Amino acid sequence: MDFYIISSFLNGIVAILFGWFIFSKNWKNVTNWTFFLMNISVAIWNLAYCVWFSRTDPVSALYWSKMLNLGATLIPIFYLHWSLSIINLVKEKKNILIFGYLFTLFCSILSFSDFYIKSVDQVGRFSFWPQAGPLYSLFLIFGYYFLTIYGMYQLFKAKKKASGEKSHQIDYVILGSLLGFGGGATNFPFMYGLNIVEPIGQPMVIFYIIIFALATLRYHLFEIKIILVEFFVGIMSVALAFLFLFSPTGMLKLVSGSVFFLFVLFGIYFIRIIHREIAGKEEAERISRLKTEFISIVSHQLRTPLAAIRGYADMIIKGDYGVVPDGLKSPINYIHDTSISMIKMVNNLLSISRLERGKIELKIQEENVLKLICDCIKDVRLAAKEKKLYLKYNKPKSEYPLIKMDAEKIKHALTNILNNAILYTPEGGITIKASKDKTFVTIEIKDTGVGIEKDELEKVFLSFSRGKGGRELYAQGTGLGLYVAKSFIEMHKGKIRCESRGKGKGTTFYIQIPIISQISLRQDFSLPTKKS
Amino acid sequence: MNKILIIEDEKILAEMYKFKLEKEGFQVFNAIDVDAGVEIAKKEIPNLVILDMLLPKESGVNYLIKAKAIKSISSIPVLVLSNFDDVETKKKAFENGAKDYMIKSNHDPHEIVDRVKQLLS
Repeated sequence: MDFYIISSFLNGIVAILFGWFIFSKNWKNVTNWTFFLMNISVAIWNLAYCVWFSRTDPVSALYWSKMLNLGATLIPIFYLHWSLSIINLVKEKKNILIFGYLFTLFCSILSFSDFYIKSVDQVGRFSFWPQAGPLYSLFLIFGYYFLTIYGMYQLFKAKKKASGEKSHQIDYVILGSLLGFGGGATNFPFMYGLNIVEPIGQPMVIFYIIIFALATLRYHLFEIKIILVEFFVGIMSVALAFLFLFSPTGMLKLVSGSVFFLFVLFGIYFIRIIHREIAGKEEAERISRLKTEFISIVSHQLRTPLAAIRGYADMIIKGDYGVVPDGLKSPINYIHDTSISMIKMVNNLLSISRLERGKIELKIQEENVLKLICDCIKDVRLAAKEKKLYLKYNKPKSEYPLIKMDAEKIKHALTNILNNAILYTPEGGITIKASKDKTFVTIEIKDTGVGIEKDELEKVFLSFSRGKGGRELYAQGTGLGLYVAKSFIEMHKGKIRCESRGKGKGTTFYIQIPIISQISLRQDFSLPTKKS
Repeated sequence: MNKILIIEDEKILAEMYKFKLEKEGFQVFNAIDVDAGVEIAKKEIPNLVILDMLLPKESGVNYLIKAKAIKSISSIPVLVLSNFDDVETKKKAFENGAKDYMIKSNHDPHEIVDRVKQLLS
């Protein structure tokens, strides 16, 4: 059997199956149903090609060549619709889609007329190659080339803005498109009697299927990894069923039948396991998402009563409600200070919730890092004084260059580390130093506190992690501060580490901030309104 | 006497800020949503508005948008006092004419009064 007949038959069947699998997973999704329609068009083109190629009389060959060109006519518009849906541009580009659909409808209606395909002629080694009518050139210009090139142009544009998985998806789609449509274009010169290039459109279809399958598997093009496994099991089952049906002897029928039966059995079992795994993963992701959303909502709601507790306590301390009896001064101060501690904890929780959702925003400006250190020290001076701890800052004599950073985030990180040092230092104090080299400004925060045991040094930056010494000696602290500090420093492409010679021997934290900023911004926020 | 309008739906906070500001010699009006805020602003022409962002029915940003379109109140400075501390909310507030932005829970009432005085000076 001729290579062209086999390849077009196989490509047609594979296109239908692949399209159907995608469609059946989520038929409401525009990306899925447009992909299905594109594949059906590819299948019409290929299967009609298979029949046309096997014809021996010109009349029948002409009919099937018109049929295959009907399939070819439908492909570009479904391809464009599908491409635009991948990059979420369907609504924005609806006018071009309407034009494409109307033009395709016009060409499809006339595709069986002589205006579209006028005859079949001998071209090269092909006996009945279809010859283009006057309308066919119009289809080539406005249908095939314009719609597909426009789709690829939009993909290229979207690729520049995309990142991560989306960017890889677009890479694969562009590559598949270039191979598929590039191959298809080789069929056209023969239609104008030009024997200049071998028509390799049909065999090239398999590459676009393989590439989209790879994209599905590696980058979740259709959000479902399982598709490829099901697809593979389906194809193999069909092939084994054919082998069983056409086996010439009873023994071979028995063997192939057993293989078919076992393959289907294990295939179903395998698919079920994957389904279960995916469901478990999705559930875990859903719970994680709910958890971070819950933290975010609760934290925002907590800030209101905390602001009231802090505010009223402050007003009582300041004597706004009259002179405070001596016996009440300390308890009210405790209420005020505790509310501030809780506010700090809530702020850390909010930061974590944003970090986990990838919704941390950076407000980048040029900042004086030495002044920023002074501001942080001012913020914690009172807390250190209350514990009778010294707070020394060895400020460099020369000024440092301004550094691009989000001052609030760096301040948040530094304050967290300073608060941590104060919290875990029962006596002595904290020394802060700053130095710089060509690449980094390094801030050193050294305390005389409880220290960290060697095996716990690596864990201190994990969320909800607290050192053994801290757990034994102090009730306060959630283990969030250092995690937030590390995240904020790393968002600035900086580094953070800590050293301790062990229990009771103090701890030194080193923060390094790049002098030349390499920060990429990321923002994602929508302002809610309160439901009345 | 300087007039201050507080647009805040949390009664406990609204009362707290009102008490503190009155103690500092301001005349204070309270509104619980954007529309009530616009009406009182039009009637009383305060010297400054303290605005919450999370309000019933619509966001505090809408007060800024509506006030901008009303000539008699468009020039009144607005101090946003919110529990939202993200850049985007701040950006929206400043883009629509807010003069300053403070996080409620991060400041004691006397610090807020200081900022009000600063804005009025």
